[in-house]
Amino acid sequence: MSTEQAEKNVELQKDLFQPAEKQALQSDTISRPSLNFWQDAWLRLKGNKGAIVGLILILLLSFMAIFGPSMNKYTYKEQNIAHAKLPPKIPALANIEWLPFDGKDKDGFDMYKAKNVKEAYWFGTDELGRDLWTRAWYGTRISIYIGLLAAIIDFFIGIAYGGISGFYGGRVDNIMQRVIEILMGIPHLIVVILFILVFEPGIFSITMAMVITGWVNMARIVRGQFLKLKGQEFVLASRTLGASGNRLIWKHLMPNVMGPIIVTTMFTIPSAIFTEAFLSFIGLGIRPPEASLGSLVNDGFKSLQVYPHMLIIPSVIISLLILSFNLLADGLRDALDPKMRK
Amino acid sequence: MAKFVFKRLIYMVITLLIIATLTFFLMKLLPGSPLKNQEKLSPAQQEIILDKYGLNDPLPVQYVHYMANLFKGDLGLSFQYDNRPVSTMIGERIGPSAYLGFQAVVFGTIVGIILGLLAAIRQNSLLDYAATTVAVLGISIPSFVFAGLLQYYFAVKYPIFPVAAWEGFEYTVLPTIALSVFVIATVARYMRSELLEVLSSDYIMLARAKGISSFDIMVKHALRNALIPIITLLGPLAVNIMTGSLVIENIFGIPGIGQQFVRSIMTNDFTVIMGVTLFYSVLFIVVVFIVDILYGVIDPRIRLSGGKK
Amino acid sequence: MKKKSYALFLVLLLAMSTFLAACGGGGNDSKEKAGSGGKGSDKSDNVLNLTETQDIPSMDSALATDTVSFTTLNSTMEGLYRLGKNDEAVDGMADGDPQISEDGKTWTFKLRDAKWSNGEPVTANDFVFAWRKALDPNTAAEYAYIMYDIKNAQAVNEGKMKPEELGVKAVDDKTLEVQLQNPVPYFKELLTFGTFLPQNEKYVKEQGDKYGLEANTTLYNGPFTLDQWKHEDKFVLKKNPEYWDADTVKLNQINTKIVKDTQTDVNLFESGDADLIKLSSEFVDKYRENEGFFTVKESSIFFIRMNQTKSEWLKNVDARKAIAMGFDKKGITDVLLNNGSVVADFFVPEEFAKGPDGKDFRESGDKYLKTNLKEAKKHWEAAKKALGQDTVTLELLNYDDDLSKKVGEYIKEQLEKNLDGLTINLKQQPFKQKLDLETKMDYQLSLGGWGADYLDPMTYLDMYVTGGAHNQQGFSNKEYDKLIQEGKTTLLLEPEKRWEALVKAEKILLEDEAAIAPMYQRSRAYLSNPKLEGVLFHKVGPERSYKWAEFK
Repeated sequence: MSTEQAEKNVELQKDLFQPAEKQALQSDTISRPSLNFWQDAWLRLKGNKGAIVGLILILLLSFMAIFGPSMNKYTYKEQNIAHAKLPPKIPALANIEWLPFDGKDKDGFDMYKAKNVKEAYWFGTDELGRDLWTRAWYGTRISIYIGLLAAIIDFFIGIAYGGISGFYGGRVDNIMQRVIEILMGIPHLIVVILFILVFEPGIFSITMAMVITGWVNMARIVRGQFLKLKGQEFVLASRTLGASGNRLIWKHLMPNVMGPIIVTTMFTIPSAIFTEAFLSFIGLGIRPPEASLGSLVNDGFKSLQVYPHMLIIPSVIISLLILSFNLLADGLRDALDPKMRK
Repeated sequence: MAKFVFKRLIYMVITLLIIATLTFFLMKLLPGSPLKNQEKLSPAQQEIILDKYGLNDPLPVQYVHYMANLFKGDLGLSFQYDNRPVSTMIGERIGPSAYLGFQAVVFGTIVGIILGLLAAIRQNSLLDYAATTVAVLGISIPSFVFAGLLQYYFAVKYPIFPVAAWEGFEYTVLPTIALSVFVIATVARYMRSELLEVLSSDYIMLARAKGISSFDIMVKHALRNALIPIITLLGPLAVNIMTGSLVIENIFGIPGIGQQFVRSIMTNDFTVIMGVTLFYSVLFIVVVFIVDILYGVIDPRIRLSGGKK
Repeated sequence: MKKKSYALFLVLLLAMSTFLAACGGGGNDSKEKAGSGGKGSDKSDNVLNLTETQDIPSMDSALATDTVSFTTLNSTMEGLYRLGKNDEAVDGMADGDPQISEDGKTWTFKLRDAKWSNGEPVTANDFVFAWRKALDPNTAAEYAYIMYDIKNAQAVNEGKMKPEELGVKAVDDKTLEVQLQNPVPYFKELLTFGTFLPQNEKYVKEQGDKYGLEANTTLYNGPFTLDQWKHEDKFVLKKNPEYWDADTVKLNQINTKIVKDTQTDVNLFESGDADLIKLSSEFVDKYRENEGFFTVKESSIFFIRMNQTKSEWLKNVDARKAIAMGFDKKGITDVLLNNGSVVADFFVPEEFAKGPDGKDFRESGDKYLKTNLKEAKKHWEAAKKALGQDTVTLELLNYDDDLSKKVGEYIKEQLEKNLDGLTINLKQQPFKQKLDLETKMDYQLSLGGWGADYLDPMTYLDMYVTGGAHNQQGFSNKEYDKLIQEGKTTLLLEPEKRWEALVKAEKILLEDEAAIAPMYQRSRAYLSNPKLEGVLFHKVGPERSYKWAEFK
């Protein structure tokens, strides 16, 4: 323990010295061009390897979500029951032993030969003989769509509600907070089921069902930030100088709240995707033959031990998707937080 | 302080009443009856039974009736589990959920804090990335997939733990891990960013300038302040987790309340829906209240009469 | 501190590697293990371990409605008769066959000397009490209608008569006399149904609201007693030494664990913690070769309801025939279900009811509405011409469980492919909501199922009489109504003619009218410890009997 302490002491001294020198130099010469908030954030984001990996992954997955389903001749709903439950096979990779794309099932049995199938299904097929490659990327598309839609709607409702609540405070805030408490108290599942019953089951009603309870989180965060910021000196100063409420909100508070809001939005996307998956798990998910990553994972889950490809492929995609959004969000949080400015 | 507490208590009661009312009427919007054998009964036979339970009365009458019983502390009888009192059912089922949830929250919080701490101390180092990745990976895998794999590998393939049941500590290990993943990720994340914020604040600079050892700074100044927001986070998180996870309970055969609740909604078991909702709301509201109080106690900067954070 | 976090880090890494290992396509060695059929301790203690997907909703025989309750009641209690091999009624509390009066309406039963688990004798009054209780509208028993064959039963249940006026009386402690409304031929088998179980009046009144809620607030007179009941967790049955036929019972104990996930079931079997499990269709391919694998045909028939009140198209008999013949049923049974279920070209299931000639109903009846794409297309074109339209969109209402969803998707694809101009929209709803829509007849097509209540074709066929409570699709055919009415009344004492009438009715329903489109008769796949023998599977009431089960 004592050596550890010593170690830390040494580091600490380093820390203390370096920035001091830099600041001294910079204040003299201004060698860097002055950067606005977003440029600076981008610079810091670029420096964060995790965030960049996340960003690249998101771009890649989005690309596949857009173009993946049309990369082969199958459609997401076309069934061929004679070709059901085939393992993945990619002819170009079929000879590489350790890759799972040789068309053999988990016991090393070549199902394509056994069923006399000439075509190769890159990701295999499901129980109805539908091409999983197409379905997986189609599902990715739907999942991203649901995530984005939910996040955007949350974003607007949350900012408006949280902003008003936080900015005006007092009685308004108090009432609005109680409303939120009530909303959080009503079981979401009842609301979700009602939504799905009242409206035609589909992407939109599922998204709305999630939003109707989901915006609360955003509103709470915005409110918290507003409360914290509005007591700070720079706001007080502006207020003293006679700034209007509008000006205070848009010029002073909003830019400072933007960081946490964007981060929260980024976290909303994966949680919406997961909520949809949970709804699939209890049988209230997307309407077949449409697919989402959640419904695919749920379908495949039962086959975990028998046809692992049906579970693993959508699981890996959904995990990568969630992972990348989370990494990017984490990176953004660091980058957008003015206090992290070096 | 006393005035604040009293005011909040009144609010809490009102909030609960509104939740109960809204849930009651929303629930009655669900089509279908709570009968178990609905499929086989003719409408006339259904009427006989619905009459007996008073389910053919006008809604306001049913509502007044329910609320009157509620004030007497009577939550009614379940439809699906013939005539079993709802309060007994909740009592029986909350135990395992709460136990498991508690264990998961404790385990998850400890691991989460450590991961967050490691990541913050060495920001942007390999350790930081590793810790963050572990935390994020944990929530990137759908929970039922994660739980299913845990069970398959650690109970069937390598029988270290039992597959499923509720008989003793060893039966709780796998579900606890599965449940705590979410806690770990959330706590680790908050811990990291809070610590980073605290570490860059003026008073830490001052402490450093004074030559206090970095260990002392960490433990005495940084950690303590960074933990405050974690407490607000933990309250609702604990409620969420302790009221049961349908997925985990299903897979590990745990007689908890999560499954019960989902089932009651699916089967229109009105009294159970109401009972569990009320229970959940009370728990939630009380926890938020306690957290608010605690917050004021721990963080002297916050005055209770003013806004919370 | 560092050390601890390192350890935890390791744990997490382990968890991660689990995921990665799964990605490696793993699990080759699971197959060898599967062959052993559980770890199978020697089982000489005759303790049977089971799983069930839900807790027992009720141990009060008057209130029970579901298979878990009925199966447990069947193990722990006994009525006049119980279901034996091939679903034949064998002696229970009744000592020998009943005496039946000339007109078939008065049945007299002699009771044997048997005891409740508290030592009191089982008397005729216990039956009278239990049956009156089940029919009393205040009990709100959801299976009360199963007793409507008893004289005045319906009137009592509807509150028009007092329970005392029910046609059942205790002549003395050991003699029970029952008056029937109609001399139904299947009454003896019907008596095995759970609602007909006796209840000890004194004990039930003593327990009041608590009767049937806990293991120790219920009385037993069957082969086993409920020893332990941890709600939503597990329940334990122990052999009942007081049972009159205790020598036959070999199992000492039956433990049932509540498990909701089918995968967990299989894992429990693999680890030797369960001896008999239901297999979901995904696992059939994995265990088909296992010596403990078998399938059991059930009485449930699944079919498409075609509502004639909500669509001009479905009013047209050609359109209905086209839909009924226009999809490949074999795809459902062989690929989707994969558990021994059979294609249904009929409404009354196979191996279900035997006629007076001792032959299965299906041997007397024909096959109708077989998959025939050519015929289907012909009928479809005829329907188009008759309606003067080329395209139509129909909505298919469906359950929201995984299997039904698959079947729905399959039917949609098949029908759209085979019948030109047809579009099917799937609408899946939670069970209760689906039932509600059906009751209100607010649907066009619907995937439905029907299981038998008693061992007679009537349990299926009387569904579709005009205005019947479960018709729910606006089907009406005068001749059909007449045949069914006769089968329930005038022909009861002429079994051969009645049988013919029922065969004819089914033919009208399917071949002439195509009122419904039958899909399949369900089977279930099971995996059992090979040492386990003698578990009986039933087509009505309780799912299984354990009285004769043992480990060899």
